[in-house]
Amino acid sequence: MTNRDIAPIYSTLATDPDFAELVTEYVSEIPDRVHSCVEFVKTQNWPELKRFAHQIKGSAASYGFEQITAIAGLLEAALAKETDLDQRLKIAEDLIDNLSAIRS
Amino acid sequence: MTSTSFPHLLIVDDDISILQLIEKVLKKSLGTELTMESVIAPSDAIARIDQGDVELLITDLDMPGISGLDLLQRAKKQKPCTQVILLTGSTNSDSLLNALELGANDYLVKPVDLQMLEQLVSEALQRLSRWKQALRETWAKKRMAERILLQSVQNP
Repeated sequence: MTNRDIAPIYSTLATDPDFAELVTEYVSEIPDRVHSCVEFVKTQNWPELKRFAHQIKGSAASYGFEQITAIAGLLEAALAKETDLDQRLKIAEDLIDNLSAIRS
Repeated sequence: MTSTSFPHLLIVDDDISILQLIEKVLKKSLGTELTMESVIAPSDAIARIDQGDVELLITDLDMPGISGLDLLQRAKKQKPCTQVILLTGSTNSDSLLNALELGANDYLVKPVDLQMLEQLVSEALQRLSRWKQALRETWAKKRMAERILLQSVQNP
């Protein structure tokens, strides 16, 4: 599903000794989350995808991934407004690509 | 089991990454002033609130099944002095307005500003302390009045 090569995205908190361990743990859980997201998109499970986007929007920036929160917010808004299918898929794929690129 | 000498904080969110982050930050900054635990399932939070010693509640507002609004009402009913801070994804939700009307003390919009959260919890601890002090004074006055009344009956 992911098509684009995106440069690695590093947490702005990665070098903070208080947060480094938590960021590593957060990043380690991302592949499972991406897998879930891909499934929601494939099955067009919009309610679960919206919930997924809502959660990522709420957590990513707190872990130093502001860019991810911004994209997740766009996806949540697109799903809330029931924008057309192409637009939803485009943002969802953008989120998947960016989530796949994050590093601790 | 938790100590009864410090206020007990319960943190509730259906996203474990939020729980871990908040617990880590608050343990570091306020760990000597309160005890804390976190739960991911709102049903577990209900059970925990019903034990009666939760005096500080930080809860996500929008959770499937049992909402933060339900937890707020439960906590205030169990212990009216409970300080409640809500976490929400949007300030536009009707449930946030309802929550504030039902006695929520503060709210933060996700992604959570951790410094702001520390400040809000610190302020909540101060309010709780003032509440307890006022209660102690009220009870002391009541006991004094009862003693005076008893003495006047015994020695008219």
